[in-house]
Amino acid sequence: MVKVIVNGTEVEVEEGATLLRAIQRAGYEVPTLCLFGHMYREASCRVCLVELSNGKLVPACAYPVSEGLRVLTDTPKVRRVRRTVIELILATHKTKCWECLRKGGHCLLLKLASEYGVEGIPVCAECPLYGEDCLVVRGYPCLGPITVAGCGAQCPLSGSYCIGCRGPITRKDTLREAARFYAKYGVNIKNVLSLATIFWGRLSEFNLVRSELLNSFTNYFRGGGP
Amino acid sequence: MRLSEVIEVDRVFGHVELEVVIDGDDVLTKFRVVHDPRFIELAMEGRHYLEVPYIASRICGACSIAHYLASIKAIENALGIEVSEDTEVVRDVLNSLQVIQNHLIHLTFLALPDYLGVKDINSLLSKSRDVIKLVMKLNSLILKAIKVLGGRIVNPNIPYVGGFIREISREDLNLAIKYVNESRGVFSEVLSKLRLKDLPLLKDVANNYLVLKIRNHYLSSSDEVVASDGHVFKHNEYLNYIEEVSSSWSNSKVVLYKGKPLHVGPRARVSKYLGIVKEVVSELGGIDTNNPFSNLIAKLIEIKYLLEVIPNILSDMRISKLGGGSPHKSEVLNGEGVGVIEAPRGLLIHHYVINGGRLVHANIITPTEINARHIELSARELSINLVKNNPLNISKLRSMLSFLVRTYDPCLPCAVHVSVVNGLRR
Amino acid sequence: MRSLLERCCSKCWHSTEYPCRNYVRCRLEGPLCHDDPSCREARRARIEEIKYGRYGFKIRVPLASCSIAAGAQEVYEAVVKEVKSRGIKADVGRVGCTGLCYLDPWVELHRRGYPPAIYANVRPEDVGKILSEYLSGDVSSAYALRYRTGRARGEDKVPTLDELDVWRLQVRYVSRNCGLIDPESIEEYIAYGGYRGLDRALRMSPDEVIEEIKKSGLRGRGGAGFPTWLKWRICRDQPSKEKYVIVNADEGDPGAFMNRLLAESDPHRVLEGLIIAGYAVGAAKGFIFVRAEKPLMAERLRKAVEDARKYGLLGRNILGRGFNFDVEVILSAGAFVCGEETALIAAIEGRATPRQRPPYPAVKGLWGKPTVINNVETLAHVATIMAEGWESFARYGTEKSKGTKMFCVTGAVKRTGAYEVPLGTTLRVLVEKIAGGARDGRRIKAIQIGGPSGGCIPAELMDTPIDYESLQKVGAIMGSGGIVVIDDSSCMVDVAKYFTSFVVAESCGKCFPCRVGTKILYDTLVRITEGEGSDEDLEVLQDLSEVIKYASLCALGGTAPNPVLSTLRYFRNEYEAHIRDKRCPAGVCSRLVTYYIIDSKCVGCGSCARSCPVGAVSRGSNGKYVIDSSKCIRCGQCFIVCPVGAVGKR
Repeated sequence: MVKVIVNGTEVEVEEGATLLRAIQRAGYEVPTLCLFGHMYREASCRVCLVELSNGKLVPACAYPVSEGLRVLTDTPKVRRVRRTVIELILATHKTKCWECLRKGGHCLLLKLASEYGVEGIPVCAECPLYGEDCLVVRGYPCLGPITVAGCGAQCPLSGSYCIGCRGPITRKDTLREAARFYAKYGVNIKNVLSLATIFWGRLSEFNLVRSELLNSFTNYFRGGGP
Repeated sequence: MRLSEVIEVDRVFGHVELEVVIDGDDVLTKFRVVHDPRFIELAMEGRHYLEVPYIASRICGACSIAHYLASIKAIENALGIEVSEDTEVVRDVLNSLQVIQNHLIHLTFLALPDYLGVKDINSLLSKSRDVIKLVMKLNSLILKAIKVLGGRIVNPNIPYVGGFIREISREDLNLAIKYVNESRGVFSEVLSKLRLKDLPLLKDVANNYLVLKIRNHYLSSSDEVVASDGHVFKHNEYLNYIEEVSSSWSNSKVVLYKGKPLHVGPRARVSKYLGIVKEVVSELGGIDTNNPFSNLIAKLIEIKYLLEVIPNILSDMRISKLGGGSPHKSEVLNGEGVGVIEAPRGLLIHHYVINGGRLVHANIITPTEINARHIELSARELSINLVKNNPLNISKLRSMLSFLVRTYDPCLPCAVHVSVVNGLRR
Repeated sequence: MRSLLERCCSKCWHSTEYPCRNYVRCRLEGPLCHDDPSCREARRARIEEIKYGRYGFKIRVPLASCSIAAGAQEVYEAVVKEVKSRGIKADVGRVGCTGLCYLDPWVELHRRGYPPAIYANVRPEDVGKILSEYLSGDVSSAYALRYRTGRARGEDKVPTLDELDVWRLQVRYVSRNCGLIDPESIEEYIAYGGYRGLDRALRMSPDEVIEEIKKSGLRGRGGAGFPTWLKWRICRDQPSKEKYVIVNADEGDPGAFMNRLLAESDPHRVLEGLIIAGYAVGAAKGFIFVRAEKPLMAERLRKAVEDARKYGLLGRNILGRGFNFDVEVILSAGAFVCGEETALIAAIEGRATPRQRPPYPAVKGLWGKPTVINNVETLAHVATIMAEGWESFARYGTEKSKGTKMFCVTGAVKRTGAYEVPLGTTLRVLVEKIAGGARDGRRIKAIQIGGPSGGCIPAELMDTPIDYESLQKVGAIMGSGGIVVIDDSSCMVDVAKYFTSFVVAESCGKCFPCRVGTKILYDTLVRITEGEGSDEDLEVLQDLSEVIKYASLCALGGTAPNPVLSTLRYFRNEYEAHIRDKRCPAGVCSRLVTYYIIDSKCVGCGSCARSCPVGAVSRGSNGKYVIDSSKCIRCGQCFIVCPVGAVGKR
């Protein structure tokens, strides 16, 4: 057995165990995204980074324990780096939350992003309405796909469409995919944009949002890509 | 004797000043709404009609339901959309719930200190902590009921043009009934702990009022307005009876009925429908509807009465579900319509002109606007009374006048919804 | 005797089937297995032949990739033709590159009794003249002489190599044979003293070998500077019976070519080091991992391996010591990340993506077995240290950074090339004295050291000694030794952008910080160079760079932001000029440069107006031309065509 000190607490783990096991045994939690049991342990996502006593950041899911190893799981450095890593993950994540099986509260990326204050995931990720229940599928100009999550999707939950009070998503590819989603279910983009002006009309990003949505929407009908 | 006082009234919604000038026997009062104009009507212009209610509900957080429903009614009236009786009933219940909640908060936090003779909220808290706690519990129960029927505790989103956007089921109604029943018990407890003192005496020198004609139960809406002189007119004829006049010293307009000042609100409603609520009135020790101060008692009466009657209304409904389905698609895109509703503070009118599916003109008349001139009159009367016989006590004058303004429960943000553009519209 | 390596007579019996312990010593000092003066004489004669040619006249033409690119192949053929047609009694040999690449192609003529003369920048048509001159005893048009003999004309006017700064300040420890021997001849290598290190090592125990390397203080020359003995020790101490040693001959840094130079000019030295490493660690198989983009390097290493195997220096029972070791040359797939050791191992296993360390390769590497990976230059040092003793190495260098290292100096200097200097030499000596300083009368602005993973050091810090610790203090790393000198005609933001674009292209994509983060850095830099940067961009660059450094999976990502960080630290004013003034001080970023006509110089010829594709140049009333900045697309055509240089840039 090997002794490891996690956030000042001593724990014992088996030799050859990962740092993550030791951290969990000590009662602390470190988020992981890419760890998948024995099938994938390549430490690629860099979300589980924790700080050693020499200031170095190592991935908890792959770092082997050694006797007397000291680790800190929640320092300012760890938080700062983790936040940026989540931003980077989000930057390349294909956000199509309206069709994702994890919508309605099962999305770990959304939970992580909310915890670290990273915005960019649409309300659809929090909204449990899926398939036929989705307000867009029913033909309403719900702004869920293009509004920043964080309110718990309370308007769709209570039955009415999202009117975008938390602000727009500005990432272009998400906007383009959302426009295709609207087009597919026959929601007129002009209605969407008109509704959006209530809360977003004076925002500096609105022109960008409007042009992206309009272009992708018209392209859908011309047979083009997003 | 000359006296000129500007009283900045606090513990009201918004900013308002009451100016009193006493010059010998002459008393001049000015109800000066200093709140900035908000241009709500302009914000609505050009919008698709389905978006207008969302803007309307955000005129005021305290009576968001009233504005929302009035807006929807105006649109339905303009485009000729009819709704079922059950829809009207649920809407009215939702409105009533907000009336209860509004009255409760106003009475407890804004008016009660005056009533109990304490200086401010902190003293109130130390003096009547248990009452306050009960009130908060009551408040949260009512808000839960509002959430069930309205979708959100503020700025509702379930009522929709043509009905409801989400199905309202029997279970929802039962849940609302449950909350209201619980509230009734809590309210009784509150009442038991309150010792109602005597109100200051004042005579209403212009006791003209307007209330909405009820269909069946108290606060059930209709499209007719009843005046204190017995006159009844349809809501879309309001312009023939009511005129809006600019006030040079206030950002709010002033409303006159047939050229005379008037008041609206709980006192007006109770005055008109005394017969319906008479049991509750006697339980609470009677009311002198000629005294502007008795607005407060009228509020208590309304709360008690509505808490008793709402569960019955809801249980009598014979529906399994209401609403839901696809978005409303109207073939008619042009029209002019009016929506009226009894907001917590009184009669509220929304008047829209829709062209090509878009709002081209909006006019909103809020109860505080309607009360504006009346407040001035009552304040004048009160000042005269105070100055006449006694040696003048400035601080008493100030506190009494503030109390008076508070009993009207003015909502200043609502009062200044109008716009000021190059003097063309006001 | 045809070859030094073969049996001198029937009594001498080394072969791969019957290896002899003293084989290497026998080549030079021998014969040792039997006493025969004629054999000894034959050996001595052969060695003479190798050094001076059959007729005492040897012509050396360097044929390494850099020289061939400069045209040395044609020169070689011209020399051969000339010698043949004139019937000159000379041996024409191909050698490797000395590292004085600015001289390429060069030719060295050595006739016994006369000074060995080096002729620089030779063209095929000059060959005849050079030969005639040298044969007549005249060396006055040579670039330099290796030493003087007093017998040639013009000797005193031509400097010897030792009199030139570029040679004098070097210590040619591992590069001693480069430019001297035929890289494809194992015989020449041995004739010049090769494989003595292996011979000595195999007489010691592996632990003693490791001890020798430890005493020398050799640190890995690939960039990290990890103590070589320690890596070997860790691997040796692993319980596994199966172990591997690998030469990292990937050398992906753009502009670095020390490894290529060594491997193309003296491949056996590298191979010798590899065999010694295998012995010390206990491995039976070694790999040489070469980039496919360096085909000549791969070929020469392959030939070296074949020859060594032929003569029993690789294979079973090497030199009769019971040590079995064989080597395979593997071509890599052309990814910069393969230079990272875990990615290299993964490439051999099938897919080049790095792995999380620990466990380190010395514990768990190729196919899960303990593996030592060493750089080409490190192993060349190993061979030399074992041959000459640890003191020969440790006498150079500083306390913590011992020995010598090869550096490639390229960029805006007069004398580009590969130079070997003791560690601790200052950058100033290397760049100004050895490499000649700035050219074209310009001023050196910065020195990029360590390739795209290193950083930029401003010219003010040129007195920094080149050793691992001092460089880290100023925010750079030594890397594999590539040095690029930047003068004031380059824009530092553009430099950072270039190196970041390299990293973006070479990122393997496994982890987010490197794959996505570097791209964001690149996009931000592009915006800044196009005039669309803002002050927040500087904060983003700094912050994101730091996070990428901390959070990346491997050293590629971990060092990727160094160009950005170091230029932000030392050249922030250039960034600010791009952002606030929308101006590129060096005049490089095309969108931020304004072209204007210098009135006093303009002669009114109108070439500029005719060449302008958008009609932004027009004739003024005074006959001189003027550029309308609002129409100008900054293509630079007017600047190029103006015959009198009247177009200015700012």
